[in-house]
Amino acid sequence: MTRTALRVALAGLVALPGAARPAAAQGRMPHQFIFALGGAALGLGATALYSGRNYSRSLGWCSSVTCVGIWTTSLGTLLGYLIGHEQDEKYSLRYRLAPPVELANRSRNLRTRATGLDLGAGIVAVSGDDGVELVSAQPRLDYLGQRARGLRDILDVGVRPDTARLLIGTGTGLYLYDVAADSAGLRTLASATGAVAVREGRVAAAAGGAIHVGRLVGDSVAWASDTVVLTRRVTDLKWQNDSVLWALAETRLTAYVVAGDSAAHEVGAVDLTGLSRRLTITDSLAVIAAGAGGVFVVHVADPALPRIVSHWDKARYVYDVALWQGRIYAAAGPEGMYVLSFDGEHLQPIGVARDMGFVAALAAGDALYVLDRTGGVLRRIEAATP
Amino acid sequence: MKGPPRRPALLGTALLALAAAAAPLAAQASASDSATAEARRLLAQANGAVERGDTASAVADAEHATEIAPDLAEAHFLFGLLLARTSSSGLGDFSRRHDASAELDEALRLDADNPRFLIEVARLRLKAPILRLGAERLFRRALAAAHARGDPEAAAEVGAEIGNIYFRRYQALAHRRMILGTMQTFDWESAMRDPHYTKDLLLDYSTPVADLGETDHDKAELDFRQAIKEDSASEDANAGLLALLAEAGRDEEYVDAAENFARAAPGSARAQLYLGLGLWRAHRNAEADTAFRRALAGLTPAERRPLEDLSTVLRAQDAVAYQQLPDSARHDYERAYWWLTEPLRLTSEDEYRLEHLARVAYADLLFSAPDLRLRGWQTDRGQLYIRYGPPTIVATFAPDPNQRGSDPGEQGMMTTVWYYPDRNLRFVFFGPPTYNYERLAGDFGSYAENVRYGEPVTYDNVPLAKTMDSIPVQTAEFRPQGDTAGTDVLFFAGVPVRDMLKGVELRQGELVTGVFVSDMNLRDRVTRRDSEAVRFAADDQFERRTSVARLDTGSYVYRFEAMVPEAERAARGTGRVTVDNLRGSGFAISDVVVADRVAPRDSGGVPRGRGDFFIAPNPAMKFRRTDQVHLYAELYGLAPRKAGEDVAQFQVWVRLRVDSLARRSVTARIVGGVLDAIGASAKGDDELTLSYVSQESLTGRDRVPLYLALDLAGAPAGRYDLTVTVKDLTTGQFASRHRGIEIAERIP
Repeated sequence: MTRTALRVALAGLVALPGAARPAAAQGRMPHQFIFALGGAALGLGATALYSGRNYSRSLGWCSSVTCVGIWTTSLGTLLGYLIGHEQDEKYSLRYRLAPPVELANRSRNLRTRATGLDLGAGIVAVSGDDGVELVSAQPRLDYLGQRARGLRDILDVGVRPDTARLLIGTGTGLYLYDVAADSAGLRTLASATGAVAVREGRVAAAAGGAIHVGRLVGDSVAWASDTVVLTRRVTDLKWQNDSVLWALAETRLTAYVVAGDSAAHEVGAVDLTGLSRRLTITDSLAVIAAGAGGVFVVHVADPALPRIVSHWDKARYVYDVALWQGRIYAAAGPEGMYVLSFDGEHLQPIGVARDMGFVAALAAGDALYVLDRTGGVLRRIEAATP
Repeated sequence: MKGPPRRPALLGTALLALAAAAAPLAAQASASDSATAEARRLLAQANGAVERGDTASAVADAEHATEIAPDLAEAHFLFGLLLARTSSSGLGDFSRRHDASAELDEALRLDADNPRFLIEVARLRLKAPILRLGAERLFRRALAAAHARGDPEAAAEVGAEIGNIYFRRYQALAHRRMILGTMQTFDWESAMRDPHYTKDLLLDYSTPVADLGETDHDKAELDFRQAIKEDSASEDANAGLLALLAEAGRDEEYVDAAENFARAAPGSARAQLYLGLGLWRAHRNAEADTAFRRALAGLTPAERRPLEDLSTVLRAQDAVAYQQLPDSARHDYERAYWWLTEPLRLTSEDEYRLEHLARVAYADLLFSAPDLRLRGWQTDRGQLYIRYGPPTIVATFAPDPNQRGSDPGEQGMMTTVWYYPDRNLRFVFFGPPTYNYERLAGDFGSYAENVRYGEPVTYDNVPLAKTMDSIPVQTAEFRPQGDTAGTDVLFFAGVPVRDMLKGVELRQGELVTGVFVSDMNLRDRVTRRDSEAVRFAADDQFERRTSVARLDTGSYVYRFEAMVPEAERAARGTGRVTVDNLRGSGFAISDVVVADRVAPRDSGGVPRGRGDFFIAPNPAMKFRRTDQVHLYAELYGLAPRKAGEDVAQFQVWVRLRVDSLARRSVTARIVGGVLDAIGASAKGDDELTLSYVSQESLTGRDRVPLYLALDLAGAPAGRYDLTVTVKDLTTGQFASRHRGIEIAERIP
């Protein structure tokens, strides 16, 4: 009886399509076979239980132990196979681009519905639907308080590292806060500010269809009278050094030279595909999260001649990027966070951290800070991928 | 919808499908073949009938075409298509679906692997529960055929269909909850009967099942995205992806995808409609307004109607009356509806109308069931979504395997619960899994109608509505100085500045105020906007604002609004004012201003009007029991006591009558207290009158100001009717004005 049941079960396994190849291809034992065997074992167990009792006359035409064994084992096998198949499919979709990677992290629950973050002056500033939450950029992620309560429609946050000033761009203006003191903020620009960048004493803001450049002076910002008029919506601004400012506007990355207190002027630009969202920059590289366009790496050592050196567009949507410990991290929303290697020419996904939740924003310093929007959690990762 | 129709909505665009399907055959057809030529003529005629909406003639023509040219694949296709699109998924249309299937099969036999034929056959399979599982295989075959023929539009269309199959499977599993304890499943009747049942079950006796349907969700997304890569302007593929993103709350991705869609299909009203939804949810209000305007402008009147239709957000009987209005009157009604419901005229957009359109767009995306020829706004879920917005909690429950009911139509149905905790509203739907069609379960149809009677629509989810405060406004009419025509109407508003600024961590910011006065034809007569800097941290805020408007005699509607843009906080007061003509030759009295304080300015001369007084109006006309009530009015047209003498003599009666009291038992005693305080004569337990005679010089002035203060001396909390009556003792003419004031125990 048992042999017959096993033959049926194995025949079923052979006949079923081998849809678990993607999972197997990534070095994971397909669950469909394991679960099918488990289901067969359960079926056999049920048969053994049945054979040990005197139920044989109560089941109609299929009362014999052989018949019951065939049915229960087959059904158990099929059921196990289907459950395992579903798991394999889920696995193969989750890790279709890269194998799973686990990144040890500490986390801090947030109080508002977080949308973005910035790092500086030893704090992580997390913008949300009701102001900005401040968390210590230390392993314990101590909660330092909240600023700008009541301020709505926050679009971007910038922290001045040396003096702990916080600049908050909203749909109505740009506001300056003191990180250290729980005091009220001051409006420094009176038009919608979509992006803000702070470097030492210098401030740049994309507000009201123009780029404004100024200096933090005491309790306020002294803005230069000249502005750069924009024709596209700026989604991010970053200072590369004291005099070069990069603006990410929809499908274009543009370099501006801002020497001293003179007016900014464009020196170079490069076109991208996809509606770009966030930018991170070093002396020679800019990495761009381009939404559905994926990740771009742009060589920016010469601001006059920026050029795309690599592009990776396999993730469904990239919300933010970070360069940290030689790797590129891409916040991919519900897909988690991709870890990419970059050899100077190619971007290669080497892992995806799915357990990070809905990864909407990243910031890199001594550690990597990850914003999990669904869970309302800020995570701190101290060690890169093995 | 206007623009290139990428997919036949129903029959109206069958012509395009036919043209595309027939293209490869057209070359094969012999021009000399008269039967074929006649069949083609009939097909063209059928398509004309389709465009006119004459389905019966179209079916007859197409059928005749198949008879006279049995080898013409396109004839069988059109006939099958017409039969398919006019059949439902019910048992009653089994025969029609069978005939449609036979015709489409014949078309496929004649033109094997035509992707558009395969698409229609597969769509037909989707309508039959038993054959539904085979539809995906046929769609995959159609996809391969579309690729083989290099037809990206067809490939995108098929890709969208495959994506939709997975998306519906996901929807059948999404938000799934497992019931804890002894209960078998969600009990509709208990949810109906017991107002606590739904809340208790959702919070305490069930638990969400994580990640259920994730595989189908991911497959659907990949299929939609692939279909968009094939044809970026595909309406079906884009709508599928946008539905998926909207359902998941992936707002940023939604906006990007919608912008890409609008860019790829610049003439598509549907693309603009969906873009409007995304921009609105992303707080890009002005852009959302533009997108919705473009969407509406791109539609024909018939297509626009469901989007603008107000039936869903009106009470049932009002909706019936509204539907019966002729077009022009209905248009006026819609204009008046949005004019009256607009939350804030200070902003350039009507937030509630945008929210309404966004809800309609969402309902179209998420609740449409093309297999059943239903648009989202026609379904129960769509209508409730349009009325009450996104539910706070959505939960689905698996079909109950032990369900034994008399109605076979209710067997094997999944249950969906929408719960709005703030109002304890709960709606229970049931429907077959994977069909994306659910209707209100049991008596919830009646329940929904009852709720609709009390609250036809709510816009609680609009950010502006969440913090909206009220502004009490006291209006007062005065005769203008000099010979100017019209009447001066003063609006005394109590802007709750302190509350509006509370908890906002800013040193200073902007307070925007506005006064809007319109006549009864909704024409703007006064539109005034002001902006002022306010200090947020100040303990004491100046809250009274006064605005003056010169108006002609007639009835008007006014709005006094205030907003703090930084904090997205707003307040408003609205009302109706009837303006009298105070410029007549006879004796008249202005409105009585009810104030906290009225005192003459120290100008040294005889006061000539309200400009000579310091008036601190009380916009709400609400006082504490210990407060004094100050009154100010102006008398016009007093006659001199004697010819050649510039002195007028008049008598004033101030009557205070109890309208309603919080504690009626103390009426007599307390009113008596007031009586003693002002030394007036009482009439009964609930009324007192103060009367005095006055003489005033008329020299150099066209009016006589009248001001006095009442000491209520602890009058009980309640509403009082205050009447000021003046008699010109020379002419014997009377003039009178009324006000309602409120005495409260405490004023916050």
